[in-house]
Amino acid sequence: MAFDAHHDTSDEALMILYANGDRLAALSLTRRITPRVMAYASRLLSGDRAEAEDVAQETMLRLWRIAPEWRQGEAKVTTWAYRVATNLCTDRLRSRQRRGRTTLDDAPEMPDPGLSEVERLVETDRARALDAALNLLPERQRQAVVLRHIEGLSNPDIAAIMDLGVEAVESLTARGKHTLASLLSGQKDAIGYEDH
Amino acid sequence: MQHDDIDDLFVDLAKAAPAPSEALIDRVLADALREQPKPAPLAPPRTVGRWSQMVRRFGGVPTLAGVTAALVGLAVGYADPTTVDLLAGGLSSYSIGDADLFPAADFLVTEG
Repeated sequence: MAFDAHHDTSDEALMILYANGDRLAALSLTRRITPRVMAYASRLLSGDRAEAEDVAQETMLRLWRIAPEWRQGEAKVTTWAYRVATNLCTDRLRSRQRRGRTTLDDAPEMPDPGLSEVERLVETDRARALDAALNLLPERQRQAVVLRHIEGLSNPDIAAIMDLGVEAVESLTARGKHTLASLLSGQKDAIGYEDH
Repeated sequence: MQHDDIDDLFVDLAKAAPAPSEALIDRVLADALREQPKPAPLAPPRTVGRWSQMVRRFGGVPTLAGVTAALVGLAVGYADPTTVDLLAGGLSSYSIGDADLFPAADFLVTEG
């Protein structure tokens, strides 16, 4: 565990401290928020580490710039960061779609949208199988499922991040999970599960 | 595949989250320190005048006012009553000599 001089201080209070010139608050926020944004962006960007790092850095840069205007009680820092990261990832995914998937940067790490790609990846390990299946979900379903089941956020927080109602989030996560079950059902032997 | 199985997979995937490199942490921290608002420069100390220094030496304005009132009271106490009358602008026609300070005590000094 990295050193956190402000381990008892909330993220929101750290924002105020940072804006007041506290350098340790900058370090604490960096250590707390960056890994979460990085992991989330990586899930949304199909595991493209370089792009995920760019998104994480850009998200944090925007966080530093908003800090002087931050008011405690208005929003959670993590919710705000996930929301910015979601938008940045969406922009990048759309940019990919416009450019096509033939560039050298994209080609090695983008899975094919067909089930055969899932079948190939599922032979490696269970986590990668799920990761590959996640990439086949529609964008909004993937965002909701990742935020709910991997990042562990509450439905109201996800609703704030995705600018949706809580019921819409519940619907997205339920449909996403159902789709994942369908995608992975044919792979149960490879990923170590039996039918129930 | 059951949903419980997928929940187990989610746990596996969360454990396998890609961690940020130290280079990324360094870049983010460098951005943070570059963007961090600088504290406002301190105002230069105000020069204190001689009069202010003297007032402060006496304990401030309230103390000085009390000392002044005491001195005035002392001066009035020592002053000749005619001086007081003079200071009052001669408004009082009453002379201090007319004052009968103990009117009811005359019998005490009567001999006999």
